Amino acid sequence: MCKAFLAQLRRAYPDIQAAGLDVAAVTLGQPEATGKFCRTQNVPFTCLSDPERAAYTAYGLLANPNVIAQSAARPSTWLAFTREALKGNLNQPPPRGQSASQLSGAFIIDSNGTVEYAHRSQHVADLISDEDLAAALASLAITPAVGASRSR
Amino acid sequence: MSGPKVGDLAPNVTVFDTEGKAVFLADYWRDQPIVLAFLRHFG
Repeated sequence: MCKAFLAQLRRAYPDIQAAGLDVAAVTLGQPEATGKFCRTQNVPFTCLSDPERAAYTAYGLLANPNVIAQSAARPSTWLAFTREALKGNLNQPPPRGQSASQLSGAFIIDSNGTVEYAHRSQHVADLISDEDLAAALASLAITPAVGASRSR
Repeated sequence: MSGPKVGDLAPNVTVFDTEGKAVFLADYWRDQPIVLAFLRHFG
């Protein structure tokens, strides 16, 4: 689901930029591994490394030891994994030092440092939806960059 | 639920760039708003 989330952000990136925002993606990997992973995934925005989970913890994204069992009990999880597998994104076990229990999250933060939007995943397939992301971007009163236009 | 809510100040935590340099998250939202995405593991 990590790769699915990245793919979603890559897809949405032109709209995000047009709305006057950028993206920073935080990973559990060490800095060098994060750089390699993001290059492999053709990530066009900044990737950051948080192997000690200081930022994950500060943003309330706790690693839940029951997350795998809880997620496995949801049909939506299997549907999401099947959808990703059909795209060639087979789920792999986490690399050493990265917990499978860690859930993802997405926040929109304005340039004053205020949280404008927050989504904390409740299970592994619970990513921000394209519609929610589009609505969150549209609700921000941010002037698009010169020459850019909103697609919505 | 812990962590910031909408309207709260976002925690300005130190993380690392891909070169291993310590950086503040605020360095990335100071010039423009950002989508701050936290990923699961690389698998």
